[in-house]
Amino acid sequence: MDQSCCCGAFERLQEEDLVLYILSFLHNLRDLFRLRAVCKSWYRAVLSRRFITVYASSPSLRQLWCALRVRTEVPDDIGDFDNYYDYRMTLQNHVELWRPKDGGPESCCLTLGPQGSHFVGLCSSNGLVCGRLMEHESSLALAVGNPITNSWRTLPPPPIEECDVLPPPSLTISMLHDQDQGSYQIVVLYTKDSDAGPADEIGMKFFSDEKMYLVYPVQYDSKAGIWESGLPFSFDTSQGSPLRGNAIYTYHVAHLILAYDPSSRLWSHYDRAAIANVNPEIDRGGDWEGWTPLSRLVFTYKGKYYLASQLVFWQDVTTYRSLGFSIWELNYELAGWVLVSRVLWRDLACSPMHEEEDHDWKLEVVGDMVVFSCFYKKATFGTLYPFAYDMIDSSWIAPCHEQNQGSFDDLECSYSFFPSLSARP
Amino acid sequence: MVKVTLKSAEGDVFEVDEELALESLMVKNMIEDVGLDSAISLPNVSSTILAKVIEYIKFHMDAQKDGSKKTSEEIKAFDDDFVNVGIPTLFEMVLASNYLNVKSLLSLTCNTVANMIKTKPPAEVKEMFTSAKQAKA
Repeated sequence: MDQSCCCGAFERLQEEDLVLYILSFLHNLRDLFRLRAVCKSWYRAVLSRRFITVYASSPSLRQLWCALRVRTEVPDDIGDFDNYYDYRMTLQNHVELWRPKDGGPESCCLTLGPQGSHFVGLCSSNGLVCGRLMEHESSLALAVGNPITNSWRTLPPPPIEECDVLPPPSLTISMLHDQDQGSYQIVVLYTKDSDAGPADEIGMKFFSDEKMYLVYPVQYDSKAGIWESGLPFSFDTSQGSPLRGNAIYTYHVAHLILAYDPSSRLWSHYDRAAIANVNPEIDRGGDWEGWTPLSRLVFTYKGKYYLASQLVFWQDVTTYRSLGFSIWELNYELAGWVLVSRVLWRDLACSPMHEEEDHDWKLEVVGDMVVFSCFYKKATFGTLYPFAYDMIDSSWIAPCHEQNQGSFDDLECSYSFFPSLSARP
Repeated sequence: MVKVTLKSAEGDVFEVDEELALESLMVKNMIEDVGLDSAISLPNVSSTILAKVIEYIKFHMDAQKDGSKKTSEEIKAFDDDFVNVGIPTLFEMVLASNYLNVKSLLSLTCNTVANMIKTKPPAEVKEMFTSAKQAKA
């Protein structure tokens, strides 16, 4: 071969454009981060602003990742009906990664939170994940991190009393990461026994378990590095509807949705949080016959509010059969919820669902995807893979995992996020 | 059918259909600038590599034609076989498809390089690249 045209291919392969292009095919960002060390030009390329732009526009990478915590061996001492949450037990034998648009799940080397911690992911925004450190049993210890760069930061404890700290499935928490500013904001909404609070409270009182509760906000700003408490929700000070803000509290009994906006520090609310089977005739004789909603989760996407609900069929007063999941859009003009999409368990068939089990659902909106997953719970006692709804394509996606069929996995979607090289906790 | 003459680094002449030549955006631009009368000189591409690029484009053009009986499995098998070459040749193909601006081939070859390096430790990747360079020198 002519020497003039083949010498120095390596040097020429170091042209920034080509390096960037080759590296953009590396779907596993951890591989990418590792390979920075190959040479100076690669190191510079991976951290360059241009790479982050190239990377962000690569269609195979512009998608959410779900880190699944998987345990393949179950200790003998778990009773069949033991419903006790124990997030401190070591759950993971390994971590799997599911990219809804790219198959999987497959084993991966992502870390589930700060080293040595028992991190339960709760929310995410633009490459950052926020979750609770379960080794601190009674206090609310939160950590924020970028799973790709494996950098984590433990936040100062929020001013919430021990007795008001709820377990992960009941914790209402949201995060907003401003990439341009490099800052993020976290809001926790929590209920507090009104008898124990200050006497001049004017909040809306919620009646539950024969006690009166108030809903309070606390917000954390990464720039200031401090938590600030806000005023509790009350009908007198609420802006009413339309809803504003990304921190959402759903009070099921009164069909009430409360939204808190951390920038204006104002509450808004909407009092028709109920969806109902108003026209049962439509579904008669079909798969959806006799549905009623269960476990409602409210989320916001592109400024609109949506409600996701499991739809079930009550066989008698105490037992139900799960039919599937649905998403509804809030329509103020119609003063109600309009069905966006619904899916039968059967059509999420790759993922074996235990139809009659009671799960604590978690919903995360990442980019244009809504990810449904379950919190780990001893009672679920088996496999339940997350699934997702694509708001753009209007399609439901469930992971296929034939290789796992028949095995006995306990898993939890520990967090979903958009991979980012640049996000810093 | 209008023919286009391509001249490799060694001066070898390749006569190809215009339709095929236009798949290279670089050649397309050259034709627009200088016309079809003279041979298009490609000093950065060796004869061996140019022949491979032409083979690749021809296969994919045929596969896309109406009435083509090629299945996606056959196309994938062709692609897999096509990039199943030594590292020096693969690198040359990356550079050639980048220079000639043939998007699909650039994507195929870069993806192949990425797959080769993804599970390797950095030192091994460096060695792989360096030995490729020595083998060629």
